[in-house]
Amino acid sequence: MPNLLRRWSTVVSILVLALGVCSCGGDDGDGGGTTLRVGVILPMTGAQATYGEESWNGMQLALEDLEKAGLPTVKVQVKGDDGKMVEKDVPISLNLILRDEKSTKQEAGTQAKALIEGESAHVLLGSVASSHTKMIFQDARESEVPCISPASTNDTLTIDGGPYTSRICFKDGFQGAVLARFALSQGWKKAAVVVDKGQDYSVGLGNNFEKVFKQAGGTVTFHYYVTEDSDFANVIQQVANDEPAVIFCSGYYTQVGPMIKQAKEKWAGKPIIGGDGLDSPDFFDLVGDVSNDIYLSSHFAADAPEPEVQAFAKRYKDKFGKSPGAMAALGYDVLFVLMDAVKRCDDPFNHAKLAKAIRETKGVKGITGTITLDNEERTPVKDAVIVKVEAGLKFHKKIKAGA
Amino acid sequence: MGEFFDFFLNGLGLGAIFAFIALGYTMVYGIIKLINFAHGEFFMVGAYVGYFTLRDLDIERVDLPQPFPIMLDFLVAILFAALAAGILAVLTERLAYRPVRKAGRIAALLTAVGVSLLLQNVARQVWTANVRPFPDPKIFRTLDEVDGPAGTNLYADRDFETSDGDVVVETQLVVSQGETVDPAKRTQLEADGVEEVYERVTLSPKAVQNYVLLALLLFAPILWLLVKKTRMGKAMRAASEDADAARLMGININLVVAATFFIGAFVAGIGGVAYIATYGKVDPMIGFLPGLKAFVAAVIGGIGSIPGAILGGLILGVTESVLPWMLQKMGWDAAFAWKDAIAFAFLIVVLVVKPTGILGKPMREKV
Repeated sequence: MPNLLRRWSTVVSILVLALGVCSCGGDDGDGGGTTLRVGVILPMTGAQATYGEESWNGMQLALEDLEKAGLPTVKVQVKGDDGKMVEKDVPISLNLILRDEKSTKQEAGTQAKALIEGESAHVLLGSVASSHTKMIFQDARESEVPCISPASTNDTLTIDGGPYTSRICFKDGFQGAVLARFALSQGWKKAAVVVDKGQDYSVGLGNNFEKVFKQAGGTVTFHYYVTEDSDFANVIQQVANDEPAVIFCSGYYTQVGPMIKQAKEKWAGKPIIGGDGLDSPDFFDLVGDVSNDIYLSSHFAADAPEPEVQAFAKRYKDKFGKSPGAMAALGYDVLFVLMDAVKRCDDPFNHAKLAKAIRETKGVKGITGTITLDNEERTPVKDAVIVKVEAGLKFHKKIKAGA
Repeated sequence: MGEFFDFFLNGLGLGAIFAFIALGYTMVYGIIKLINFAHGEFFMVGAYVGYFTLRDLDIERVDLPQPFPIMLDFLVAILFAALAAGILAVLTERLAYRPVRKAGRIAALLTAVGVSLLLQNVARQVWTANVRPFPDPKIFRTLDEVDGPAGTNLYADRDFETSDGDVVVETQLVVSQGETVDPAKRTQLEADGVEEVYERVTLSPKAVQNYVLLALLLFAPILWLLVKKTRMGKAMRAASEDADAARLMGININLVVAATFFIGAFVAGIGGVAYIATYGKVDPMIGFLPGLKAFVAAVIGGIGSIPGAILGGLILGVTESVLPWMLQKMGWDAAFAWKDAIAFAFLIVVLVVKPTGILGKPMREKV
């Protein structure tokens, strides 16, 4: 008998636990239904941790500004004084739910599912690396949840992702062309392109660069490594043997930084260019003191002459102690694009309606330029900047979107 | 031919680091027939301790003529790293391996895999999974010592207070190479609050690799002598041949095993610092692939043999470097992206041709 009792008590306690868990997962009890749950997926730890940190800081700053200016309102049925239901405008509240994708593709997909199913997020924001965003976009497409990537530039992302997905940065077709034209304008006709085979971003950017560079009469050789590599001696040697006029490192800062450092002797004096994947506050520390001139294309430079950029950079530095990189500015802008869509949307809690409003975004003024998503690929056409690396990232010049 | 030589040397540098880790694998295997999969993690912990020593202890400020402060900086970092790895190995052996030593080799092997995963995850929690840049040693100078054209870029660290009251250190390039520090520039620097500038000594990987090879040449004979000529070495060899008989002869097996773990991990800790100095970054996963490769190196060389571990390491490094290069010359463009696959395929070939490895002795089964 005691044995039976014990067995039953176990069953009961398991049931109670299960019920407890269920009730937690349900309505969050704010009653009015005016909380917009925004799932944010970023690499907060791991090889791309500075991207996550900067993007999240940018979002915090944006949230502060949005709340100060007053969040958009939605119509809600509330009980009036006379007991009748009346319609009333209530400002929505934003609940940013941050999830760490740990700089891995798999975790990005897992967190997207958890946010869609577990947290019933109304919209997703993220991530940075293109192959990680691809996983999130897949889930967004299947579950028909709107998703905006702040910083993923790979060309095919939004095409594969479908109508619920969009981004607020330029794509690599443009970035590759910017870099190719920049290299040619400096008189560099022979380029060695170093590509990370394991990253969609790196492969795509390399190919886009090649297309424009070759058309304009330049010659290109390709060399490969993989994301897991830490010894780059061989790829460095191959590049050096090619004797290029410029070296294009299409990849992320955690690999390219140490690569340039390891190439201190063999690439001595050669100019190096890269994409926005190198835009990280850690990049300079990883590279160390080398004799190369390093330029990269990016979305934003903290010391660019525009007054709105300067004001943002100053506020960001006062708060976080560091100059903002491109990811910070994009993190800031993405929340404004979302709020602009929410403002125009009659029911932002409806996935389809919110996605439609995001698709219709036109001319939102951001720190990184003017953002219009009203096109086939839901990708804005924006200016790029060329940044020079010297104990941090220094503004070099601006490249217009049309040019 | 010159090109071949370049790739050969690159491979040798890489192989030297594999050899450093392989030494520990082979010594432990030689005595208790345990493949210590946690060895790569001892290497990783050593690398982290070296990293923190270099970053935080300010040994480079010692008042000696250059380059002694930098050498001292590295030596202390290496010593701390090696000791930390050694102590961790002894603790691991005492807490995880000794209790299962009698339970058979499969149990011990699984314990080793478990310890490896445990240490990886603990490191990830304690030190975060973020990739940290290797802290280049600095040469500090006061403004009085700087005048005329600067030979290198000079940087300054300044504190920046955020609106929340946190103080953050900010690095700035204050004098670029070739720029002349004249009285006007000096006044400007002083007005900016710069009192002290420094030069970043970014070591070329080539120099580091040469030191690693040198250290290997120094350490290998020491280890060999330790095993062949000392009392402890004799006890190790006795324990390796027949642990029970050795115990009956009055040899303290536990002490011998602990000493073996300590020495193996000590050497791996040195390898850890060499690794982060060569490759410029540290993260909790750095022990995984080099650990696996070092295991392959130990097997290729003949596991249990000290010269074998060094030979195996160097051969593996050179193979990884030269073989893809040859394949690329034959027209396979992406050969270098396959170098890990090529390295492991090479292991299979060696094992098919000579199952005991290059210097391994055929195992005598006791009947």
